[in-house]
Amino acid sequence: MENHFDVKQLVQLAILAAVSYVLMLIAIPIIPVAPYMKLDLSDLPILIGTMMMGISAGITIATVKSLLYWITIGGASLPSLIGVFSSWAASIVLLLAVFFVLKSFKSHTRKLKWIMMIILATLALTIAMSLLNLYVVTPLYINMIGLKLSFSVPKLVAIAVIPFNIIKGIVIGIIFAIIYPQLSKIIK
Amino acid sequence: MDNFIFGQYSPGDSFIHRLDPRNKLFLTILIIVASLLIHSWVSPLILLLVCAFAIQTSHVGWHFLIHGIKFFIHMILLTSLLQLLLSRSGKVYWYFWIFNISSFGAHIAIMSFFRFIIAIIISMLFLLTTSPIEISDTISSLLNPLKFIHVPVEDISLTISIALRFVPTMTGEVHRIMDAQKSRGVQFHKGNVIKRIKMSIPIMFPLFINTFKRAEDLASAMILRGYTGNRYRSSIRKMHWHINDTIVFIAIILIIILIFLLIES
Repeated sequence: MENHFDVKQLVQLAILAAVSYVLMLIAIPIIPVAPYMKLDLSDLPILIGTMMMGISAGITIATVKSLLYWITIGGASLPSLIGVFSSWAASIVLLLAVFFVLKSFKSHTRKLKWIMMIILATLALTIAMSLLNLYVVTPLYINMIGLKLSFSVPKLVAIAVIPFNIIKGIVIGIIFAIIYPQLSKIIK
Repeated sequence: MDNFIFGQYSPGDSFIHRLDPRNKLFLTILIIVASLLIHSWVSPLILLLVCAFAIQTSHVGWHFLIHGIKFFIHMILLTSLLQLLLSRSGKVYWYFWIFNISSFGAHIAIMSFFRFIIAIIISMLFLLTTSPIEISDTISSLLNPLKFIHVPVEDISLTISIALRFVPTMTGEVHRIMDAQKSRGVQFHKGNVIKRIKMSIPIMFPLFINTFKRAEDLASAMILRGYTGNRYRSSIRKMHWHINDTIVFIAIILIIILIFLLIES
């Protein structure tokens, strides 16, 4: 899987995962009805790692970050595993979308490429996370920890999951679009 | 600042601390699974007694542990109360509007309360007595069988250990960058959402440049010392299976077998 990483890349992966973990701790809830959905910038190191070393690097960073978070903050328990899993899945969807958009839109002008990246990544994230919440994550929460919702699952997706992922996609997309072109010039 | 993230680990040298982390992890999972499978009212009390004995021998302190799980206890009490009041089957003792207390509801509420309490106490105890680095070693030793299908287990455990080692360092880095930008007049806790997003850029940019600088330094140091991946490497931390581990292992397994043979059947 990651046999092609040399020592330097392994160390970069590890420290990017540590940065991602630290950024995950600085999270702010943005949707009032679902305070457990928090916006954080932990996807930035994952995207930077993906663009510099490829998809498997991004997946490794996301996995190590989720594992560390689950052990230290989540208390290695089953209910917290659901939350960690859904944040891991969101990272994977985001990194795949960003990677394929940026690699396949080579001929376009630079500005257009980044705007396309933000729009398509947001779209992919919103669709994937809505489906995941509709069919997997929220039913799991209800069955496992007896979470009682004051409204139905589709309504929760409509009023919390979709706005949250649109905001998340746009915020992370914009910050990544500002930082990465500059950063890639400095770090070869 | 360096230890607030891993505040859950309470360093010590008790009997429980000295057990092999692999053993502790296995027994923790075993007790959680057992607590999910029991149906009698007596069995959770026995498992709670086992937990209490473990807490007493671990010297983490009752106050410390209860403080750590206070939040979970509130949540579990609320869930159990809802289950008690809302499920209706069996003999109904009392009802009011949509609420009622039935024999089946009471049984479910009590059992789910005990199950979650046991699961949380025992996993909390595992985290309190096992350092994060031991947990990561345990995970890599669990991954060991994957070597046969050519998964680079050493690389994965190296990545996890380095990441774990750098979490406090990078936390300090973030705080230092924020302080530096504050001293230049950036105000982080003011303005609307768009302004706050803009303010994260002067943090992110130096953070990532420093990240790659540190990676470069560490990688050069490792290469100069002759590190090559994917070979059998010795470790400064060795996990030993002592006679105490065998005793605890057999004792817990015996208790669980007895619970299922005598009480549950």
